[in-house]
Amino acid sequence: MTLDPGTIWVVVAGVSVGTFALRASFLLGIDRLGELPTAAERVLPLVPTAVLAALIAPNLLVVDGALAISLGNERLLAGAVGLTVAWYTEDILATVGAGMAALWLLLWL
Amino acid sequence: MDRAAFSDGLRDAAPAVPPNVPLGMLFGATAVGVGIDPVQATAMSLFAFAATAQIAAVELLQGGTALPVVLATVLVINLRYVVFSASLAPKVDHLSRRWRSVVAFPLFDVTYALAAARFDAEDETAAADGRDEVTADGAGDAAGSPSPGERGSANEAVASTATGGTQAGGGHRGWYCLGTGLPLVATFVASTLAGALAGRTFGAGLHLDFAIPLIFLALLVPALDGRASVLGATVAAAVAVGASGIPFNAGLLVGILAGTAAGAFADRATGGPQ
Repeated sequence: MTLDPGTIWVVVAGVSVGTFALRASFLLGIDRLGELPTAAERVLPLVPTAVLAALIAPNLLVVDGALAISLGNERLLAGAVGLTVAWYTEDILATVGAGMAALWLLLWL
Repeated sequence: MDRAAFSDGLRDAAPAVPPNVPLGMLFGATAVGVGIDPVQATAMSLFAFAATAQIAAVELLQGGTALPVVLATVLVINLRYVVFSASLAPKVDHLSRRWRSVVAFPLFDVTYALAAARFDAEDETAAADGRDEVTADGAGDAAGSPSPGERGSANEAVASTATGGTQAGGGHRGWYCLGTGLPLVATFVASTLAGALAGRTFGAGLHLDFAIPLIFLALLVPALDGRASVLGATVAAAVAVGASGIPFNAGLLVGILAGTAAGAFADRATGGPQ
């Protein structure tokens, strides 16, 4: 799939409309939707942590389609630095700054 | 216009604005890094206003993912907005559809939390005073609002009842939501543009795409509050890695679903939210 402008605009439209539909679901459709089932209420808030973890892990651990858990994987090491900083500071800028610095250093060495 | 409610919104949202800036800039820079132009990136931030989902979409597109999978993933990522919508709906059902759309548009964790806290407090106070939550002709008592001394503004708000948006003692809920949403959307869009332009000029060779997992780490860590979320995250990570080879780049989706299921299971096993 090439990133031609037409495709991107389709993505922009799809993401925008879809996300607004989720946000407006009960706010605009309240007459028809009734109440959210309790099960949904308990499960849906668990999605964000799963989402973030599922986005992070392959990014750091999979290189060219293969699992790469080794000291040779600079992204993994830099990611570990980022994780540590995130743990102690919970600050986006600090985490990104430290992690990027670690990556540049490791790639340069 | 309910100036008091609007400025309350601006004030309450102010602390959440600074963290939005790096998020927007990094989305802009990484979007440009995969070939999306600044106008498109900015448009996405303006119309979608969903940072994590946008960044994920960019990542997936870079990997050549099919559009339906990209869209499905974005929707799954944003599913929690349905919970926010359901929770907020009863508190604003007296508002016009137009105002409810205003409430819906910038709905995310911050705007939801602010609105829910304020409206719940107002309703509680109203209930304690033995009044109905929704009084179209209003009462002059401003006890429910964060600034109890502002009788003047409460009366002003009551006077604007013609638009049907006033709760007793709290001011127009629609204006409050506009007050919280506007600065957050504006700064996110502006910083997306700034990041996109800067990324296009400076970004080459800097491995800016690595900022993506780093941002996500910074967002993930504070969200790990209890056994269910940690288990969910671990399972999601493991499954996403294991499934990274499956076609259509659907491994991400599978990982999310598996992680959510694991978290839900742990949640039930311990008898409730941790």
